[in-house]
Amino acid sequence: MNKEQYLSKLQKMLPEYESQEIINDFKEHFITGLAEGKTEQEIIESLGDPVEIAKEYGYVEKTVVKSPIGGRIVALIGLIFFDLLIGIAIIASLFSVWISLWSVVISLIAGGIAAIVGTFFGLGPWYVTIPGGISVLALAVMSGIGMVYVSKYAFKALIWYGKLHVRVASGE
Amino acid sequence: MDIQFKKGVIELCVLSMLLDEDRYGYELASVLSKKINISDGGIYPVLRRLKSEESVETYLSESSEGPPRKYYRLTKKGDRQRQGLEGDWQVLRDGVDSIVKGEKIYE
Repeated sequence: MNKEQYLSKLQKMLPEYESQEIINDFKEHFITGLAEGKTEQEIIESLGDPVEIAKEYGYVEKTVVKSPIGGRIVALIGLIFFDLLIGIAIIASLFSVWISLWSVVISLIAGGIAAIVGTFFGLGPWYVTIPGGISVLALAVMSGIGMVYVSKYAFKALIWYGKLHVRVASGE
Repeated sequence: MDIQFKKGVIELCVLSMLLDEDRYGYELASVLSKKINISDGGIYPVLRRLKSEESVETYLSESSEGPPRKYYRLTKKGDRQRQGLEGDWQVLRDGVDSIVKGEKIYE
């Protein structure tokens, strides 16, 4: 282990908000030690184990506790049952709502364009169809932007739900 | 050594070393590791705690060896803490001594 490895090992165990200041203290220690003619190895040895030092700052190494395999299998089977009975139905109905909302957006766009284009083919007086068409298009754009956000979060939620299965299976 | 006990002893040593002059981390660490056999790295968590308790304050000062060094200075609060710890230490030392010496007599 050299100086950089020592410092990064220590840093990894400290929370971000105070790691920089602590690491600076240790960097200073190395600089002074090297200036006094010690080697990096000697300094590291006399500093002691970074894990112990982090403990004295009040931080312990993160350890992942896994639940037993039997419990994981039962939990995963339960989750799959939930998927089959309710999960898929909920996802399917939300999906159809999502499709219909997008159809509304598309119809609004089509309607707006039709009103504007229709003006040139005698659809109605221009002072009705042009502002009307533009308003409908504006509404379409706004609801479209809203739907982009909704889609993004729905997608994230779906990914989270998918990953939930992996988490349950790996027991973390 | 019990960790809480050790912490108190190191605190007393650090605060006492700062009584007559301000010192930097490396200095405190090398003296303490020589005299009471603790690892150099153990001093920094103690210094940080003393600082958060406002028993010491820090400032940077130029050094001939490169970047400025962090110096530790005893505060009034730190000196009161030092007196308290010193009193505890004397009571403990006398008590332990009397037991240790007494046991030797009855051996």
